[in-house]
Amino acid sequence: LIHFYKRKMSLEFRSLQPDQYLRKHIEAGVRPDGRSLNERRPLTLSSANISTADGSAVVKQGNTTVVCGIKLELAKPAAENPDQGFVVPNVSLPPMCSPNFKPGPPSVQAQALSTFIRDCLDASQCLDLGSLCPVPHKYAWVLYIDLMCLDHDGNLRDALIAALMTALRSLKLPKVLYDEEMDTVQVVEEWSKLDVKRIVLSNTLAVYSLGGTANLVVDPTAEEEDRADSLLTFVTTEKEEVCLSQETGSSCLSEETIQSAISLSTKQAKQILTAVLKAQS
Amino acid sequence: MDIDETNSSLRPMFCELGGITRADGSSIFSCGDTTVACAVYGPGEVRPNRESINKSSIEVAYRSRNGNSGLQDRKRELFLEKTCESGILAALHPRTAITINIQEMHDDGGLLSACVNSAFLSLLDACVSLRFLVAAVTCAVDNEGNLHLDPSKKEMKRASATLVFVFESRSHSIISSHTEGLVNQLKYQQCCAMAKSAAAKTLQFYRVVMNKKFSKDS
Repeated sequence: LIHFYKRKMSLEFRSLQPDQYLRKHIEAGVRPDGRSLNERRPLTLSSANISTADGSAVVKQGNTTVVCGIKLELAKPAAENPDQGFVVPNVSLPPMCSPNFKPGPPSVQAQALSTFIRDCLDASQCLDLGSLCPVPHKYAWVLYIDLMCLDHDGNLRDALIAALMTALRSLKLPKVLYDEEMDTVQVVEEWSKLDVKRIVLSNTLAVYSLGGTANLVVDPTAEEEDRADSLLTFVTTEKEEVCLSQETGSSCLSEETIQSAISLSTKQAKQILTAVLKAQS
Repeated sequence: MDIDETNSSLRPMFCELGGITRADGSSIFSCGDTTVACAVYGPGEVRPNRESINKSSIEVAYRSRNGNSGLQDRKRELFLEKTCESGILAALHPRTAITINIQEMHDDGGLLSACVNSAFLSLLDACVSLRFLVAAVTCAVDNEGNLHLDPSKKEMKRASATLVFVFESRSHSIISSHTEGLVNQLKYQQCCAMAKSAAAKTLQFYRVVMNKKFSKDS
């Protein structure tokens, strides 16, 4: 009976004073779902699910679900880079994933995430764009990368990057035969895997300033993300280099805190890496 | 890979406050050749969908020189919005909006940090209550591993990584940061340290600007 009343009170506390509820948990070193501050949610990755796409992946991180689909197309390469293929990433956050999004043009969050994906691809140099141009000046591969969130329960960045990397690794390129005299191309169904030069993985931490110290919380849920003082994202490579980092929000962080966040991120990235490598058998 | 080879000085900075007379506060800030104009309106009327009952809504509009609006502009707006939100005492003005309009006039590298600096100078000119001042600094790491403070556009193009750090004036801790490009942890730390010492010089420059504004000559 005591348990019943305790749970009722905690639910009331959670809805009436969500900030206090969350902060009391973090002060005690746990989170509302029972995880410790450094614990990630269980991650499930599967690749090559979508048969109509040339590369695909589905990632589930706790309740956050993200789908990535890559379609290939042959197009004329850009004039400034005539011997390179190019990538067109797009992140969409449809109304079904969260009550915060309504139908209409892409929201600010969706646009910010699309830029994030593009910046990651550019900064990581994980794709050799030169290998994506079978006929320089005439025909180059365009990779249309569509990332869609099906369920937004926080920490989209990590899920999106994991889905992106898994989908890129599942991508198979057909062979292109170019007839120079007739200036035609023929696509033959002889598949070769896309050469992904490095895998980068993202780790997002929510920062809560409690009593002057900054508490770092790994893999925040939507509830934790909304109430955080700021969010830190580090995209790191296997060699523990930082490929992209972003801090947004209103906490003041010392350099030591940032350093410990980077070390934590590289450790966590190793866990995600084993999952990504396993997904592509 | 020699640290002595770093280019560790900021380009000369210049700022004119109050140039845009219709705005509540404005600044035209330049760092080297990179020039940014910023106008602040507020606290003023807010659209109902952005109205907040316990604080002012901070809205940033960024326009690039060639006028074509793209995703990179949205990214800059979001970065500026978050940085300004952390510094402005928004709780003093509920149900209002503080609008920050930034116009790129010339980009010779370090544009994002110039935008942050000019936004805060405009907020000072508009007498918006602030928690602290910020100084934003850009660093670049080139392919040989040399660090360049406040890089020009050419240096940024050749760089293998660019790092932007925003420091606040009270304890010199980091409010926001944005880094792109592969850099190992040691270089990251070195860039951070280099940026921190440059931030102190930027904050001194703010003092000079404000002194000029309130001196008897102007």
